[in-house]
Amino acid sequence: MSRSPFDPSEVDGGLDPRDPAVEEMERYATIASDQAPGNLADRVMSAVAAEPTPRRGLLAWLVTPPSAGRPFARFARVTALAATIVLAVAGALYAGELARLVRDFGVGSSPRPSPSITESFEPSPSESVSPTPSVSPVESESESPEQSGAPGSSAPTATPRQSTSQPSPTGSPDESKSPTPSQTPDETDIPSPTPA
Amino acid sequence: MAQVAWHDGRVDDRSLVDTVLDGDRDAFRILVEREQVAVYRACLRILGRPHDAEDVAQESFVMAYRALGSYRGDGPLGGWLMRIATRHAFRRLGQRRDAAELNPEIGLSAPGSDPLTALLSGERERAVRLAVAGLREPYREVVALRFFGELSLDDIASATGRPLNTVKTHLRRGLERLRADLGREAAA
Repeated sequence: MSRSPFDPSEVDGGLDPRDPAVEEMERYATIASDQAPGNLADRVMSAVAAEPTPRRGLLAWLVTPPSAGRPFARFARVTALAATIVLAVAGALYAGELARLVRDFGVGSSPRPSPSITESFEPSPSESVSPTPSVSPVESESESPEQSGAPGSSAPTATPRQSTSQPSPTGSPDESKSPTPSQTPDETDIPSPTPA
Repeated sequence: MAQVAWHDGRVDDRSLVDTVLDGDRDAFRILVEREQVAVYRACLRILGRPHDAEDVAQESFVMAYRALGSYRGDGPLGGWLMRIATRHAFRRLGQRRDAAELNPEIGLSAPGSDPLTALLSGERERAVRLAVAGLREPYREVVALRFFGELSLDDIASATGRPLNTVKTHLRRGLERLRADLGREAAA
C-alpha cells in the first residue's frame, strides 16, 4: 500500500495547488501524525484471543457478531436475510401459480378464456361419455344400418331409420339430405368440445 | 496449518488472511503491527482525541478480525482495514457529537505551546474535522481515506470497489464542498 502526499493533479480535472481546501487538508494531515500507542498491538491481540476463529465467505457475513456501537446490526442482518427468503418463496409460489394458470388456459380449444367456456368446460367429462357411443352407431350405420340397429341404443338407431326409409318433408333439411354422419358433429358441438 | 514466513516482511495479504482463517491468531499480529500506525493516525485525525482514537483503532482491528473471512483479496488489506476504521471513527464521532462535549479539544499540533495558541489551533482543527464529517457520502469516505488514511486513489478504488475515475470525481467534488464549508466557517 502506498501512502503519499496529495497531488492536486490527481483529481478529475485537476485542482489549483493553492486551493484553500487542499491546503487546509494537507496542513491538517501533516500536523496530526502521532505514533501509535506502544501497547495497541497487545491490546488488540488480547481482545482477539477471546474471539472465535473467523469464518469464510457468506458464513462470515452471517455469523459475525455485531460491533459494540451497533447493537441492532445482527437484528438487521437476520431481518434482511429472512425478508429475502420470504420474498423468494413468495415469488416462486406466484410464478408457479402463474404457470398453472397459463397451462390451464393453454389446454382449452378456444383461445378466449371467458367464463361461459369455463362453465361449459366443467361438465365435459360427464357429457363426453354420451357422444362417444353415438359415434360408433353412426360409423356402423354407414356400413350397414341393419347391423347397427341391433347393438346400438334406441335413440341413434331411430334417427337413421327415419332418414333412410322415409325422406319426410317435415324433417329438417339436414336430416333428410345428408346421412347421419352430419348429425353426429352437431350433437357433439352442442354440449362441449371433445376432450382429449 | 499453512506456515508463512513472517520474518521477511513480504507476506502477501491473501496468505496472511488465509493463515488467520486457518486458525493461526498470531498471524493477525503481523497485520496489526504493520497497520497500527496508519489506522491510529487516521482515527486520531477524524476524532481529534488520542484516547478515543486508540479505542476506535482497537475496535476496528477486532471488527476486521471478525470480518476477515469476507475479505476478497481484490485490493490491499490495509485499504480494506482503513475503510473499516474510518467508518467506525465517523460513527463514533457522530455519537460523540450527539452527546454534550464538555471538554474542548486541544490542538494536536501544539502540545507544548501557550494556551491561546493551542486553543486557536484546536478550533481550526476542529473546524476541519467537522467539515469533513459533515460531507455527504461517498465524498466523505473518499476524502477521509485520501487525507486521513493517506491511501492512494488506486487503493481507494480497490477498497471501495469503485472505478478510479469515479473516485477522482468524488474526491474533487468532496474538496469543492469542503472549500465552501471551510470558507463559511472562516467567515463566521
